[in-house]
Order: sequence, then structure tokens, then C-alpha cells
Amino acid sequence: MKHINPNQLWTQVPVANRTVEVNTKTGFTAAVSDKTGFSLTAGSYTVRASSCQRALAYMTSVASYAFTISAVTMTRTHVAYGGSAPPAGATDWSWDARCYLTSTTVVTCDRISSSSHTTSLNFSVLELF
Amino acid sequence: MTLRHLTWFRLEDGQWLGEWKGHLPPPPAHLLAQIGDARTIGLNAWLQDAQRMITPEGSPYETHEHCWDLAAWDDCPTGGAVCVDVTKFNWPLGDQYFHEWNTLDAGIEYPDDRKYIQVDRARQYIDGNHSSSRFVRSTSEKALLDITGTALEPFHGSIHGKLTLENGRWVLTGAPAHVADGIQHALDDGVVDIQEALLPHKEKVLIT
Repeated sequence: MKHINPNQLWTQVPVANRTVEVNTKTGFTAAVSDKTGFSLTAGSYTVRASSCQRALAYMTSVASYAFTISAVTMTRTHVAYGGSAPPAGATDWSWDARCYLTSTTVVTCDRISSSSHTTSLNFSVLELF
Repeated sequence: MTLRHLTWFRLEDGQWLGEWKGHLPPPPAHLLAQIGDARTIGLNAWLQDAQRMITPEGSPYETHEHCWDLAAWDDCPTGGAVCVDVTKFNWPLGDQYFHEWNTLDAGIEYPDDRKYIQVDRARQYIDGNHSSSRFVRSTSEKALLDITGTALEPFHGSIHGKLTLENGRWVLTGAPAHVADGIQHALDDGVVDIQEALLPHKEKVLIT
């Protein structure tokens, strides 16, 4: 199981400590990677992806909440949401809310009306390629 | 020049080796004029030729960002990796970290989602439970804690409420009663660092 802090992912390489080969063909001094050596050129390959994020957001009395998500491309992304059911017998609209994408990494959830009720919203963020 | 985002995976087990984002020389015009398999094969060959000069130490190309698992890269034998172009997804550098290469299908796999909880720093309130196969990065207002594989993960979807510090112990109030004890035990065991999460947001740190 990988478990890392994203802040530790970015690394700079101590070049002086590493063996560097010289690629005389181009005159560029650097290691020739060739970790691949593996050729995909004999056929075709495609890289497919899907991105689906799910979340459960809890709202107390605040009118508008921001929820952080993995970065998406806004024009490719659809946000679907649903509110929690109020307790039996409750009839007011204060539970209603809506969710929408406000930036590449933020889904905003707004209450339709003011309330001191805590409510929850499920939302999913689908990125379509 | 053309901006490309490349990712390397180890063929043996599909594990992530590194990512690079920068400008490559454009492919030859005659390749772009082709269609169908000939175009795909030609562009694959162009990419494979270009990527051979990219390493953790540097490259002859204009590099915007790069990140690597240096130990895994060094351990990987020649011919033991594959480089794929992930530009079209437009995801931040590093987002392929939890993904794997499937050699048989020649494609990237997106394993089980990671589980995150979101803490509102100012209100000291857990106000969101997220699932994503990629990183969810903290902001100045919200701290995102990865609880995947921890004792908190089984409670994902029910972890919310107010955090208060009582005698050096973080206490969560407001979680559903049937899981409150389990969540509190996990917090008591220190499976996530609440104190660290509530500190002012730190920008991305370069490890040198």
C-alpha cells in the first residue's frame, strides 16, 4: 500500500552524485535514459482514463461550503449531487442544497435557504475523456 | 515545441517511476499528415525516441516540472520501463502516482480509490469525506488527510464533526453514534496527524 505525503513527492536530484553518460550523437551531456528499451512502436497503444470522484459533504449552518477535489478540466467535468433526507415529519426546505464546480479543484455547495440544520450532500465528479 | 506530460511505469509490476512535463520538439510534419495506424505508430516512435533523453538528472528539453521515485528509477533495469503520454488528461504533475501500467492491456489501470477526509482549518471541523484515485491537495482553508489503509478507512463516509483539543487529545463530536467510538479510537491511536493538519497551509516543498 502506497502512503505518501504529496509534499514529499517533488524531488530534486543531486546530479553530482550520479554517473552521467555522454550522448555524443547530440552533444548533450546527460544520462541516456533507456529505462524503457521497450518499444510500443510495433503496434499502437492508447492511454485511456476515467476520473470519478465521490464525496460526502457535511453542511452545518453555513450558507456555502467549498470542497476540495483532485484537479479536473472544468469543460470535461460533470457534477452530480443529492441531498440527505430530512427526518420524518420535517417539511421545511432548509435541507435543500446544490453543488457545482467553481474551479478545477473546488466543488461549492450552497444551501438554498438559511437554516441551522446540519445536512449532508453526496456528490460525484465525473471527468469525461 | 509541443508541451507534453510523460509518465514512466515499471513493466514488471506496473509501478510508477516518475513524471515529466515540458516542451518536446514537434513531430515531423509527414507524421502529422498521416492517418490511422500509420499515424499512431509514427507518433509512438517519435515519442519513444524523444523520451529516451529524459532522466531525473535532466534533459535537453525545456522542463517545466518533474518528479521521480529515484530509488525505483535506479533499480529499474534497461528495458524495464514504459513511457506513456498522459498530456490529454491535463492533470497536475504527480497525479499518476497511484496508478499502474497493465502490460497485457497496454494501458493504465486506476486502482481502488484513495479515501480522504477534509478538515476545515478555521472551524476545526471535519466537513467532507472524499474518494479519488488521485491526490486531493490541501488548500489554505482545507486540509485533506489521506486515511487509506488506516484504522479510519472503514468509517469513511461517516467521519464528520467538530474537533476539540481536550487534555492533549483530539476529540470528535458530531459523528454518528454507532461509529463514534471506533472513529475516536482511531484518532486516539494517532492514525492521522490532526495537529499537523490544522497548521497554516504550507506550500509545496522541494526535497533536496
